[in-house]
Amino acid sequence: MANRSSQALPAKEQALMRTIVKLHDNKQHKKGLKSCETILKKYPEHGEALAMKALFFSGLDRRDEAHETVKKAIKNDIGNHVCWHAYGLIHRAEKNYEECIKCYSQALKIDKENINIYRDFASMQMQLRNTEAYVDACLSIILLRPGFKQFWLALAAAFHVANNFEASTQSLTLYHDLFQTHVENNVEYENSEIYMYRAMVLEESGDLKAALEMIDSHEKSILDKKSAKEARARLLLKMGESKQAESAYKALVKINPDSYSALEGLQKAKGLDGDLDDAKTAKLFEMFEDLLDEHRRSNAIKRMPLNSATGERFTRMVDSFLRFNFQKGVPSVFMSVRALYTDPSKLATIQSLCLSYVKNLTAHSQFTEPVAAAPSAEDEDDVVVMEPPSAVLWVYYYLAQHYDFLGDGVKALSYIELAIQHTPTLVELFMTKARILKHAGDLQQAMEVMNYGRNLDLQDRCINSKCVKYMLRAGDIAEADRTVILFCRVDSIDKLQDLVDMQCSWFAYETAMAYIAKGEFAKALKRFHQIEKFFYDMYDDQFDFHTYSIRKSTLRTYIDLVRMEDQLRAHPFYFKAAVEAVKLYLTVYENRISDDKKKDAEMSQMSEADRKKALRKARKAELKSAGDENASTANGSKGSLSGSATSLHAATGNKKKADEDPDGIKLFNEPDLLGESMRFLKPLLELSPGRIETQVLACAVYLKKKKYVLAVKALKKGYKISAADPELHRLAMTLSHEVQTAEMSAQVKAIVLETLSQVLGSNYASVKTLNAEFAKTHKNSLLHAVSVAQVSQLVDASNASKSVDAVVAISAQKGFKLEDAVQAHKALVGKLGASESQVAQFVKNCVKAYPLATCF
Amino acid sequence: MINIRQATMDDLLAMQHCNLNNLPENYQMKYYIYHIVSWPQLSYVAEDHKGRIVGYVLAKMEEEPSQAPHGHITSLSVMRNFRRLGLAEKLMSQAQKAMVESFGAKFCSLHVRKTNRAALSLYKDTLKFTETEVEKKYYADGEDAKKMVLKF
Repeated sequence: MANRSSQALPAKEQALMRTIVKLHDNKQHKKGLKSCETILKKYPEHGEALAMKALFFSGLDRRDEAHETVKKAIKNDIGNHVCWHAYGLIHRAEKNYEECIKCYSQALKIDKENINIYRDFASMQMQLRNTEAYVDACLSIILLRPGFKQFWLALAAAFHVANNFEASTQSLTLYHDLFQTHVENNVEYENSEIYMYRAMVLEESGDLKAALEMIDSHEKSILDKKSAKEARARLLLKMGESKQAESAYKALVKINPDSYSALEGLQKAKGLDGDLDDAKTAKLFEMFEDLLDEHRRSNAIKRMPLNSATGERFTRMVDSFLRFNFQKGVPSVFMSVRALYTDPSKLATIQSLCLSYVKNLTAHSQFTEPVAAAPSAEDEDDVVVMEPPSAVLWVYYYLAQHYDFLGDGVKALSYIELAIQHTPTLVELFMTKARILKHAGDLQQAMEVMNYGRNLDLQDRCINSKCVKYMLRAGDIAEADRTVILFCRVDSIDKLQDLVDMQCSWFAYETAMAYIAKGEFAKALKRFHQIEKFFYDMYDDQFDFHTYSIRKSTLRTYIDLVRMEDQLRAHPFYFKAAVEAVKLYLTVYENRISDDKKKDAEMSQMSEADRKKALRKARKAELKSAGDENASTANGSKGSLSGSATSLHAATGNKKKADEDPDGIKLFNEPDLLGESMRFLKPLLELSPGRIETQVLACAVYLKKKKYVLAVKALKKGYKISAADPELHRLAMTLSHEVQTAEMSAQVKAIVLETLSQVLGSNYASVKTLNAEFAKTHKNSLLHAVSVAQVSQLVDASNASKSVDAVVAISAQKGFKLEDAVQAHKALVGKLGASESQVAQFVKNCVKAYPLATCF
Repeated sequence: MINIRQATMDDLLAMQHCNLNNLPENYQMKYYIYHIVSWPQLSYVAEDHKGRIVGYVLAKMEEEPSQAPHGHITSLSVMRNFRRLGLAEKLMSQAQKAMVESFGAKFCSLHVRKTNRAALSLYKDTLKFTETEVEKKYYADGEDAKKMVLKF
């Protein structure tokens, strides 16, 4: 770092300063700290030395001291870019991107030609997706150092991310002319990647011909042969060059006969996709037969034609497919053919084949009826092949899964018992038996069976994980904790923390759900925040790759990374956790409101003296918890979650700070629960707006916040996705009711009424009528009936009990899902306040439909 | 119905999930990203018809200048229910092909727990790796690793 400050040091200290910079580059924080002290002993006010000291503090995760010291550095030497750069790096380490950018900008104002700061500044702009600023930063660097080839690539990527394909292509062409025409050693891979990247940009810009030319003209230089072949095939197909595409896809199938994209591409290139006439169908099967001759070991080629086959042909093909797999004892046969069950005739065919296998295998160890013709001793071809004894086992196993899928738990259990009698040591059988019991509603026994299976193979983490999940579902959290740590690192003190360090979201999620079921909401909140933190860190992970990928020239995967990170919180792991987290926040909020109401009621019953005493006590408690709050914000950085020791620092061998809120008490006592729920709701609204859960939860939260315009907007979006959603109906009715009773400005009221009329029609105000209509339309659904009853309770109390009767009546019919019944049961005994006899009848009906269920 | 294809960024969360479910050696997301950014050609996944990842191989190149360029298998796993389909072999064969084609690898190496008989037999008998040395206390719990190598 060049020294432009007014505080010049003598030669000896200058040399030490250079050593200090090196120590920082090598992350030797403790040594660095000592060296800084040496300088500061003589020159205690020296800005740069203070700035470096602050950086070492930051590296050791001593945040308060880092901030204190860097502020002093800047105060002493405000015109020194090193001090500002250091301040920026400290913010960066705390993932405080916005403040970081401000510091870098300040540093660049002082030293306009500092490439290091520019590079950090550019990366940070990219991290914040300020793509225009990123482009500008790359351009500035190139103007300063046109010979640094990396920045030309960074510029191309910057334009690409900003969707400016033309400028991206231009930058790459310039790069090529400037740097790629010279032959250098050890850059073959680099060049190869850049050609493939250029083809990618061209393809995305829509210039397919140019993309193809790029690949063809650099064929020899491209080392990633497989990607090049894939791109060629894809481009040819898109350009309508079917003949060439066909041979390109044939070559790809040769390379990987289990590649769907290759097999599907081949189908398309031959014009054998979509609706096919008889001639084309025949051709399709011919194609698969030819392929199978060449690639006997491909699972995909065996399985794919089953999608298109019908009637006799299907029976013949699926028969041989099933037999082959049962002979080999492939455990996943059911999972691989289940998708065919959408066609009832295929389902029936498979079922009858399997039943006949059982009959024949148990009678004479063959899949088929014995051949009637008398066997002649001379003809060896007629020797009957006996199937292995395990064949029938796999058919039993199949049928157990088959009947479980069809909802027939009793039959499923009888088949899995046959399988277990046949081979009592096979782990898979117990896993399946446990799953059947879970589906039938006996979570306790499901857990016990899974645990039995676990004990058959204590070396296998897979069965261990499954067992932990079942323990949590059955509510045995302590046993789950004891079991899950069997595979955690032995060297960590807190073994459960190992799962947090490894970003194990399934365990956090399942534990949260187990705590919710027990009513331990604080601990559940804690788990959801852990998951949020995993994703927060995963977003931050990309930072180093803004420079690393460019250096490696792997720009294709870099662009993929940026796009993946932009969609990160749309991932199902995050989505389902966020949905449950927002629901939980709503529950905790509602409980708090009703507790407060109860307290107010109690207070009004008290004598004057008692009331004063109670108030004093409450104020004291409030002060105490507020004190805790302050402590937490002082130690945690802005925008980060509680207990957030960053993994980057963990790598340097420092001990992590103890979690300040291991049981989520602070999260639970948070004064603004609805505000906190936005942490989870926002990513849903941004990345998953098309999901009904998102709009339902948005509407519910905004309603509670009395933000009526936002609530009605979410309602409208929700109706577009699914007007039949029972929870959305309840919210719509609640909003329609509230708009007539609650206080709101005339302007807001006008918007809400207008939107409600768009969504619900002209009689949007007649909640009772709308509710009755909704009940009629969905008269066979438990959850819809619950929603109707909830609305009745709100607007039509005299009819509330009758609407609960309707719920009970539906439970007498067959065909409802177990999970719906569980949810309805919770509502009945909860806020709906069903009478004892109503609940008893409901439970009786449910047990009749699910005789094994123990959850009522 | 299993599809074998090159792993992409969009697979990483599912790969991490599969790894945490099945194996005792686990990694943070950044390490997965590092693999795909550095050697995009080398990692593969097996996915079922619903697009769920049921197996993967995470691989890299060892780039010490003192040694001939060679690939290394960081992690290989197939979900229990999807065994006996030859998926591990198929994943490995694609990864190995790419090591040679894109990076000129001369051989491929990997570590396996001394007591993991199933894995040892897979590498030795099916994939034709040979054992070269034992690395004492290679794993965090103190177990030894066998180093195995396959020459291309």
